[in-house]
Amino acid sequence: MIAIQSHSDEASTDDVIDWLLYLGADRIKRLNGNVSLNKETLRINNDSGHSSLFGELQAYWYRRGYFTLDIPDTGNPYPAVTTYFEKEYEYYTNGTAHFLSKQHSINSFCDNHTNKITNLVEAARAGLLIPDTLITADVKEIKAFAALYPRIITKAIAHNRIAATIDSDTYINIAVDTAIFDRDMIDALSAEQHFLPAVFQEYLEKKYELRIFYFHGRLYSMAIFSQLNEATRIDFRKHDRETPNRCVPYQLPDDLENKLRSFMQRIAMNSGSIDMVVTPSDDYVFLEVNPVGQLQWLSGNCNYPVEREIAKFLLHDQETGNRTTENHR
Amino acid sequence: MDYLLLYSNCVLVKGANRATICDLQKGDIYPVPKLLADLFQEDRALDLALLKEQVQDETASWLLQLIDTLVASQLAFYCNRQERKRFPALHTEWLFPAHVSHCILDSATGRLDYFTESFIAQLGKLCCNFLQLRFFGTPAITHLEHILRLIKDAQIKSVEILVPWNAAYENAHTYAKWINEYKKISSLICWGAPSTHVVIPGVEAMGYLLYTGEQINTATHCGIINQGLFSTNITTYTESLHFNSCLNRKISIDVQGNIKNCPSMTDSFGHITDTSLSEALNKPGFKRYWHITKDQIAVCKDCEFRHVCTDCRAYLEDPEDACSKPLKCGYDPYTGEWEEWSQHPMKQKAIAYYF
Ligand code: SF4
Ligand code: SF4
Repeated sequence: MIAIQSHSDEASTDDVIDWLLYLGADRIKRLNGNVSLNKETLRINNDSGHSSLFGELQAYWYRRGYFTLDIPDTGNPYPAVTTYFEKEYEYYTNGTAHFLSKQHSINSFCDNHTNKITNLVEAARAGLLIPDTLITADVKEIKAFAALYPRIITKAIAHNRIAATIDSDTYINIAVDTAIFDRDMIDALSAEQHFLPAVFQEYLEKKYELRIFYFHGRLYSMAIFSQLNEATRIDFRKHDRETPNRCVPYQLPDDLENKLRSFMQRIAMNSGSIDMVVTPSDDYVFLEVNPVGQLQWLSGNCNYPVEREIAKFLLHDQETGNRTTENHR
Repeated sequence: MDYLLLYSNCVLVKGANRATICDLQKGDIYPVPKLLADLFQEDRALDLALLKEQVQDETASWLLQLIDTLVASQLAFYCNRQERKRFPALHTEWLFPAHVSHCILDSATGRLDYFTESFIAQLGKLCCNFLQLRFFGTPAITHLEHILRLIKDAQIKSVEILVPWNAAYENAHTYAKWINEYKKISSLICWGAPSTHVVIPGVEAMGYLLYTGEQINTATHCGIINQGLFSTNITTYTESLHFNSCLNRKISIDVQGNIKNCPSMTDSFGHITDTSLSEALNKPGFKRYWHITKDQIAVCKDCEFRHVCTDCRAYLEDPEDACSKPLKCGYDPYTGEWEEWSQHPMKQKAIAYYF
């Protein structure tokens, strides 16, 4: 069985499944949205692990969604008990995700917990250039930092998006984009002001941005000429509908590819989308990595066989298998 | 800067008289004079120093102006020698996971009785993406809805439907209802309507409804080539490099139930009542046109539109020659002029042969 965890309207999942069917896969299980583990069994022993959820698991791909456990409402009056159950089951779902990540797999739910700060530290340790970064709530520090650079930016620590269901008819989805932190705003800060620690980074002038899809040792790189359109200069995710940014295949220098591979191994993520910028002086600077980035955008504009290669990996296609053994953990 | 480099999804296609730059990302086509096109190395990079050496005076300033326009239109950018190798050419492989991409089903009566669950399963096995249903007779509402329901849950991504216009259906808003209810309908074209107009414009993943005054009552109406049918994208471009731009991965069933590559062709590979689609597909000769590319076709091989254009092998300028130019194309790449194909004196013999 090839198990794929995703959402029902996730286009890249559809594309990979098209390739799987084309290549002759007959047992595919697609799990959409919240998947309840109440009726599932996980068995762990020295020989192998078994999960009745996926039968005989041949491969697993995590794309979206999560495991849940339905806690029946027994009218229990003690919130502490409910909290206890919730904690208990959180460990179970996380354990299941960990179990799956050790199978022949691409990504895992655990990758959602990836940490921008950790990743910057590891990127620097892998020999990649990173932007000068300050995380603080201390106004004096911010002012001193801002004085070092022509411009600084601020961004969220954990998530670029707040998405939450409030109740049955309310759903919020707020994009927390990277923004320039203006000189005026910095000057206006007073030392007595209180706010939560935030991330501040030097603003990098860019010739173009790079989006690199990493997948079990392979790298597919795309250059994004975001400078052409003023609207997307700071954060290319703010997409400009009228004039989409020019996106073309890019060939990274070999030593940089090796550093990126070593970085991904350090953070133990077998697949992800890496954002970098190329500065006017041709420096390659690492920004961040997202575990489940957009694929169609990259494969569609560059004509890369990403979806086919994912399908072949899931099918244990010989060629893919050989190339990935070096990365097996 | 050393070079003017075309973005790799803006491809230069040279024709006899001029060239085009096909912007495969944004879907636009820009004509380019031959003089400029010929200056590109590997059809991608223009050495600026060399240009200044080789071309002088007015021609040079005219070319430099054109180059500025290319940069302003975001088709090309300036780069240095080191950067050039960081921007590889586009992979030319055609990435399309389907044994059959298109299936055309023709019906003279308005019925497609073989369209059952097991037929849909056959299409699924072939990973068929697009379906075209061409009704030359009016289908009963219940019959077409039955078909649409089967398609709804199938792997097929989209369906294009051609039906005779019918006053009763229009009064009952049946067409609009189909479009709203069956999201896989990409277009519904009602032929023989009192006037030609778009009734529902297809916006945001919705199908469009078109009424046309034309009488599309037989398969012989197929094969028209015009600029409106050009499709400027990576899939069409890469397919055209390796395969036929119409017949590759196509399977059809004509009004008699014969399984063919195209309904307008004579070769049949079995009848739908006793032959499965994959059996027909694997018979020798079924795929004989699949590998005829535009680069092998007379006239088209000199045309600057050859990688965005469609093709037709059923109606040819010279019916005896499998690599002849499509009959229903009125473009002349040697002059750059479009003419009405059916009026062309050179085509009259072929027209008499087919119709
Ligand atoms: S070969 Fe010509 S007639 Fe046949 S399907 Fe293609 S365009 Fe139509
Ligand atoms: S000459 Fe050939 S390629 Fe050019 S427009 Fe006509 S059919 Fe298309």
